Amino acid sequence: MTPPNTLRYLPTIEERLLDEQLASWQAEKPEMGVLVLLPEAEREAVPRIQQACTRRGIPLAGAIFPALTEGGAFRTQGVWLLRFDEMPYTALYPDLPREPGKIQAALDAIAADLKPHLRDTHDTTLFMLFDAMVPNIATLLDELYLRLANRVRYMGANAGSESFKPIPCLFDGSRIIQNGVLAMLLKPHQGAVLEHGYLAPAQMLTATSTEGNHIMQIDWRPAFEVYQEMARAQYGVEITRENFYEYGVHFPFGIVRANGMTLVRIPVALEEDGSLFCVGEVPPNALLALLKAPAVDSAQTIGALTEGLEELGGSPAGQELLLFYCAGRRLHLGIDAAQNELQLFAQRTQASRIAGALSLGEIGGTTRWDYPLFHNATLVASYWGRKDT
Amino acid sequence: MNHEQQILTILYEMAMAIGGEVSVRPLLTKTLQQLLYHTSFPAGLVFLDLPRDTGAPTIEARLEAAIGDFELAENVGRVLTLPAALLRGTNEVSDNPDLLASLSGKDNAYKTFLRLPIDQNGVILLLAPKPPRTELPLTRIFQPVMANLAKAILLCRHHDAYTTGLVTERDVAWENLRKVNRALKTLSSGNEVLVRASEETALLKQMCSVVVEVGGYRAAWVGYAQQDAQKSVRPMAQHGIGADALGKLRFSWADDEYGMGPTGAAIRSGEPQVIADAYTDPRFAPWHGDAIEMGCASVLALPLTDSDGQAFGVMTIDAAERNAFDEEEIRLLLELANDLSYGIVNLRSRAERLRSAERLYKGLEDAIQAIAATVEMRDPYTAGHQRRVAQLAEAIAIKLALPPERIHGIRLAGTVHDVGKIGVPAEMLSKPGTLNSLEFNLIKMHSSVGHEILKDVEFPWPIAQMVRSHHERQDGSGYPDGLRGDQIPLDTRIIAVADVVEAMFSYRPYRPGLGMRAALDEITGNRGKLYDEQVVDACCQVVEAGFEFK
Repeated sequence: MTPPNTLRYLPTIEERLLDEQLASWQAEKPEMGVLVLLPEAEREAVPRIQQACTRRGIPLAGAIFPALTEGGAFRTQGVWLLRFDEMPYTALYPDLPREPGKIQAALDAIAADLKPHLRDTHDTTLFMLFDAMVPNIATLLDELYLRLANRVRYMGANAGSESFKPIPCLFDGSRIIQNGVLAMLLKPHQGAVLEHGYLAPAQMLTATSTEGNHIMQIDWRPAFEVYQEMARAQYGVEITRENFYEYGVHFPFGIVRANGMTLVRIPVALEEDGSLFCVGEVPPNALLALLKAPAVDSAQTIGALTEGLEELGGSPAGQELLLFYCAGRRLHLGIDAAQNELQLFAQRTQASRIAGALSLGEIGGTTRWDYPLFHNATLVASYWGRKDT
Repeated sequence: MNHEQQILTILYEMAMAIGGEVSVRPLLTKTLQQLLYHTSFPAGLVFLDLPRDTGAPTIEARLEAAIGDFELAENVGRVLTLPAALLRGTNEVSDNPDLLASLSGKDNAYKTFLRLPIDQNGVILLLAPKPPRTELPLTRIFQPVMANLAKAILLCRHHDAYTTGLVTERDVAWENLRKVNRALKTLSSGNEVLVRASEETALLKQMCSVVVEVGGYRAAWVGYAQQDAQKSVRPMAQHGIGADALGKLRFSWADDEYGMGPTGAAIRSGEPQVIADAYTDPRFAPWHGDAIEMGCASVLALPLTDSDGQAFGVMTIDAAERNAFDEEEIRLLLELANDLSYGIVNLRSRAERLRSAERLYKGLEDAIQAIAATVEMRDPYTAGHQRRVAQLAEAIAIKLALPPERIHGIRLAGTVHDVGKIGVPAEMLSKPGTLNSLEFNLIKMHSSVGHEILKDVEFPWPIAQMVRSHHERQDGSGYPDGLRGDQIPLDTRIIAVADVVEAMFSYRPYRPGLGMRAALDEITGNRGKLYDEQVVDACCQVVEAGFEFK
């Protein structure tokens, strides 16, 4: 069986190489479309890519991530081109609302756009690439699930800059936007699997004052003060304002669920008043654990991912896969250990090609048909380009 | 973290979520979201108010909330027939695809369910294609949550009922206010029309216009009950409906099908009549087609009654919406109809009074002219004197901008001011040359005699007094009473000036006419002394403006 040929990494973004690749694909699949994953350092290339696609009349969607994953390594140069044999329904929604009153209307509009394209098959995945600066992604997912329920599977990741500075990071053939989402309906598609492996410790404290992804108070005291105490008491680590950015990623918060799974929330910013910003929302009054990231149970994590893929669509061997690897996880593990996980994943799956990016938050369920949640510190994997899944 | 701590964590979070809602629907949604979030079941359903257990194998239960299943979510609010064994029972996790078959759709997606009863009367079902992995006892964890949820549902239902009641009450109040307000505006504008009304037909037209243009009703018309054999109702005025269209419709106040409608019934009963649905009400059967064509969905007929309370007509108001007229609105519109009745009756009696007065005046004038003619027949030389004095006095009164009624009185007084000369011997009246003092005293008596003649005739004006005093002078030198200044009424002062001017201007048996110039010299020369200043000025202006005796 000829391995599929729908993923292509170009180490440099040269117009000629880009056009050759597009031309070659287009000759094979005239109705093709393309999803582009770009590293932050190559973001200036967006207009060139848009022009190249426009010239050939190829529909385009894309996102900018802190880095790409390719060949078991992280890349800050080059580009991933992911071909669709036929461009799926794609929509860009900039400037998503944050006010509760406006969220309903915005989600009604998005659901109304999507529903007409969901009539033909149930094997559909709603693939979402959010700008990581959107602070209420978990709420938006809850609302989306109320509207679309099991009509689609949910999968996605957050794009943007690893410095968490706002940048336009989502694009199509003619626009590049921020504070929004790129939504694509992949079909047929069996969804994705998601895994992290962080363990919850014994002590729990209540987030007594939160607003979206902003934790003002824990246990009725300034969040950072309590965070410092928890780290000192549980792990003997002295976290200060100076070393916060170095340590935060190693000691994320965990929100515990009844199924034993933990939602990870990595604190990424510290305010003057001692409040903390996380990647992902923290519900009001959520009970928080301070997690110490796993020593590296990479084998378990990768094993679970591979099993999940097998459950979704049979053996991944010889298949093309898409992988999002959390930037926070890489920071915690360090680049070498993180790359080891990438290589382990490639070995275990025996995939013919794995396109991927370093993401700033991930969307999915830890089991098939799971309630879709917004995660940090995870790996999200799915098949790409299979017609039989 | 041990299981107890984990359970406490979940209970705490769910209790906070449940406690934060005040309305049933968000409460159920939030609870389901929390349960799905914590358990990894992908779909959840809530059924409340389950019927009593009769042992039947199936239950008809209303789906109150559904999350995670697109098809089932479409059925929220509908009654589903489901196996009793699925909905009834204790907390349980079960792999039983057969029980779930009716919920699984065509692809039989669900194999596992978690049942969480809510206080015996309701149940939450969480559904999954396979048992989600967990080490926690899901059947026990949520028992205290469900107990709290049952109470929260009760409280939220009370709150929903309360807020629904408030909203309904507010909407009803708004609607009532709107109706009353439009009726009040109509009433107010109708009263303005009444105040200004001077003619009956115009009043009816304007009132119909107010009802439609100000009140916003579809159409309005006024009909009068005819005393003919058919007891027909004759349209007199309308607005919002063409006269031709209205004329083609048949109305009556007889005891027949055309009299059974609101118009006829209002005339017969003297009470307002309402047709809440003009398209279907059998009393409105003869006009159903017309009502539909014209968009008149409800009708109000208000009787117009005379001072004895007898209905002589009807004002009919059509509205575009069904049930347009409520009690308060009818009360206000009836007030409008009563005002219109009063206006009509008042205009009619005013017109009657005017006609009577005109007849009376005509009679009086005829009598006065007859008296004047008698005097003039005895005194040919002064023939026309009174008529001409009346003419000039009227012109002066007009110049002084006196009211028309008063001017009329002045003219009549001028016409008969010398009637007392009937008591003066005819030869003395036409005697050439000067009169001796005895003769002159006899002549001077004519004003008193005139007064005696006229004093018992009931004129609307003080004719007799004007006749008596027309020779009085401002300085008190006149006769018969030597009145002075303001003691002499203005009307009399006008006749006095006109009398002097006409007398000097005209030929007399004892001298030729002296001309207008001499006459004006006389009054201006004695302006303020013998004659009233403003009357003299007015007389001069009248003459200068071209006045001529006819």
